Amino acid sequence: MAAVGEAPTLFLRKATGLVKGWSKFDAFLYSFMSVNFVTLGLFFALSVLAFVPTGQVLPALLISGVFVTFLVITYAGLISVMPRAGGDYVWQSRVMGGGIAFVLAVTGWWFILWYWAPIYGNILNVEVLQPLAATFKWDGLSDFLATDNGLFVVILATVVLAGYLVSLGMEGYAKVQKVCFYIGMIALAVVFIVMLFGSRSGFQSAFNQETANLFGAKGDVYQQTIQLGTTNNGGPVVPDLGFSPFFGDTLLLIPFLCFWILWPNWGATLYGEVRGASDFKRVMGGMMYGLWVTVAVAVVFILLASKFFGWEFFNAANLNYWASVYGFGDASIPVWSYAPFLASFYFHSSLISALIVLAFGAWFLGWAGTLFLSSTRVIFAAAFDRVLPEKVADVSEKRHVPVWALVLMLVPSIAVGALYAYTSKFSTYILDATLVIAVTFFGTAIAAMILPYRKKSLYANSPIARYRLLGLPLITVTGFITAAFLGFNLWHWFTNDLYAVNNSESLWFMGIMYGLALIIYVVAKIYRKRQGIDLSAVYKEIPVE
Amino acid sequence: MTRATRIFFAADLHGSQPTFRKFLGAAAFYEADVLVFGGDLMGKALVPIVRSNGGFRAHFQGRDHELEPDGLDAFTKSVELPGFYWQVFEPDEYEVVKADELAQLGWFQRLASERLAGWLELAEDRLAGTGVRMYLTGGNDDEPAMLEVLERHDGTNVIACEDRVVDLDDEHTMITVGLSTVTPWDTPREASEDEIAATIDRSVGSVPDVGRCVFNLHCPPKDTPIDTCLKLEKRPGELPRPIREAGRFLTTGGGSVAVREAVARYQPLVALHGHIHESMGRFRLGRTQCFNPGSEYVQGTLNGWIVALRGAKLGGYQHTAG
Repeated sequence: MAAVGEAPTLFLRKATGLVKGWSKFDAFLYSFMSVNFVTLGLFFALSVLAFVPTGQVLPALLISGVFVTFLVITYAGLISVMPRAGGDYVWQSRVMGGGIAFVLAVTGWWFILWYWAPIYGNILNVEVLQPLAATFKWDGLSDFLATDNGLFVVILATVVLAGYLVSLGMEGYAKVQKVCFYIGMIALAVVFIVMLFGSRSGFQSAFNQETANLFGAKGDVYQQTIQLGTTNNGGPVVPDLGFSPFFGDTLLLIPFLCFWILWPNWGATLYGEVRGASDFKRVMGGMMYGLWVTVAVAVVFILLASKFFGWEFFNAANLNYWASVYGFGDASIPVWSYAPFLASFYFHSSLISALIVLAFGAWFLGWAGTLFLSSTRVIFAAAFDRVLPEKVADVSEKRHVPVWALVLMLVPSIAVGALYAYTSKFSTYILDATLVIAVTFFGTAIAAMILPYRKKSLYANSPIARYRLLGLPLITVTGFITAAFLGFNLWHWFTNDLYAVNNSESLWFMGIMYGLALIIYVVAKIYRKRQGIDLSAVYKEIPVE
Repeated sequence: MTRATRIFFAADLHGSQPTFRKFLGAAAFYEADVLVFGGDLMGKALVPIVRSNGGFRAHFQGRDHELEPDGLDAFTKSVELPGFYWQVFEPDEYEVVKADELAQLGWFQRLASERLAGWLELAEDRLAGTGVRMYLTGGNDDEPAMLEVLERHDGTNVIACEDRVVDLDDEHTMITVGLSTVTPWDTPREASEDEIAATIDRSVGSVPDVGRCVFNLHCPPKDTPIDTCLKLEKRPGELPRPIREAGRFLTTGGGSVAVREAVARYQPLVALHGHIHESMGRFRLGRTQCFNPGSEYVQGTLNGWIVALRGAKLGGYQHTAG
């Protein structure tokens, strides 16, 4: 008997579909731009640290990163088992049933994204338009942008921009995103170099000079900013940067950081259109790099901000901005203390400041399309299952864009944008935008936990079936940890006044969304039944006999 | 109002045992009157299992497997799930087959024919007395030997439909063309656009009322949302490789111009397609809805479309993945 020196190789015949797959970099880019350090990170996470004056951001960031890692593993697992356009809706519906999936997914990926439109618009305003207007001393424009009308116009522009980017289709937008990535990273590197080699005293001097030049501020505005922060916070703004307390009040920062760090899986609803999405390691690697490169960038920024701006100044300036916005105090300058803008003062050049602000605008542009891109796929998936009218599942011939799904995002977001711009209370529900999506993710984490037991065959034949931890399927363990992490955040959002979302108006706002979703599902179920269509059949698996 | 005829349509099972069994069970599960299969019955790979020291060795899913004799049954079941074939070889026999592509093709045809014949027998048994008919054809990936198995089959419930006009019920007919346009894999049943157009035209010539006819055309219409696939380049001795531009993979339409023109010109009641696994969906050409269920046979999932025909109208449709 002849010996076989190596394991037998597979015999392949000439058949379609046998190709090499999708790159990890593509997945990374989606993820990295979604966990956007400059837009969400700087404006909505690192600017509110003074709200927890006894917490430490570095341990909070690392703890968040570790737990979001489990979310990444969970989502990568689900993507590899069911790589479908629609993500959370598809997974939840197939594992837990259509009703709960529809309610959780359309609230988290459709209705609440209307509220994200003004949030995106606000970021465009404070990170690009207002700094540019200030740099060139266009006082008329600065004044207009600071008004309700100005904010609404910017929100409208953002909605149109996001709609246009989505209309480019997946491939077209990916090209835009890639160019934005390189421009944004070069800009970030320039600012980091300034912060690394520039001195704090040099910045202090530049800040005082430029604020006097641009805004007519007088005296040592740097010190005034710190004093104002102490006044606005009724005591110390933040502790010296460090790791103590590692837990304790530090944990209270995590629900704030989630506004930014929770989204490495934002592209999960798109993976049905991504080739090679069933490759678990590749998909997970892309999202994991997106998460941890962002965490690394943030850690470097925090250390450099502490060195260059001064940690107390940086946080006081941010706190003062929010104090002036929400009316509990004053700010020393009339615009948000956007870190790249402040760092650009070091050059004492309007042109360089403008170039830096514009180059950082690439972070916004590469992110703007994510406002609607993922949402349209969830709406499309629900329409494809016939829960929503079939027209909504129509896609354009050229770019395969779900046009009607896009319309269902665009039009209501303009109405919500008006509420955000013209009412004082509505704009305080910012964390609702994260809370509702976290509820959706919570449902998906539960679906992931029970997937190996509810869909035995599907799971057993998936690429992740071989991975086990503590004797249990890996996705069950990571799903449980993800659910626990989200549960921790949800509990804090619902019970702690600090986050400003547990008031009755906010709860009504969210409750109406869930009610609307439930009504749509019940009506669809009854209507389709009359047409002879059993919606539940879509989600069931045919037994193998 | 007359009761609609419910068709359950699937394609591209590629030898997958559990997926075919699901297809068979779909008639009862989805209350379908007719099962229509759109081509690509044959699996893509053969796992040689080589005897070694009283046990077996094999390579499957990227891993080497050392098998005890009592583990062979479970292993071969897992091999059959994604539609692969398997065969136990003596070591020297394996070496001979490994070095001979023609011998490998011979094994493919033999094992695929045996599996298909088993499916036909099972289908006749399960569908007997139900009134449900199953229409089967081959796609571009199927060797002519598979069509011969279908043609030879003499049963009542399972009907070979390639290149024929068949009656789905008392008023609806169906034509079937399993050919595809040229692919980078050089598959067995590829044809030029002109040949595909001529084949469709020939079948349509025998259709009494195209407005009540279903077009079962394996290849989807060109440049539509249901024919999008990776753009590939061929390199000698390698699997086709996706083309990247500025870091992005390019896509293209893998469908047929002839199919598109035929659907647009004849405007059948419904057009059913497969071929492009990753482009499940539907698309309207004129008044004709074109459907592609996509395929996830590798994981044992059966994708399909339920299509209800009522007179000269499309009564309803629903995508399924079960």
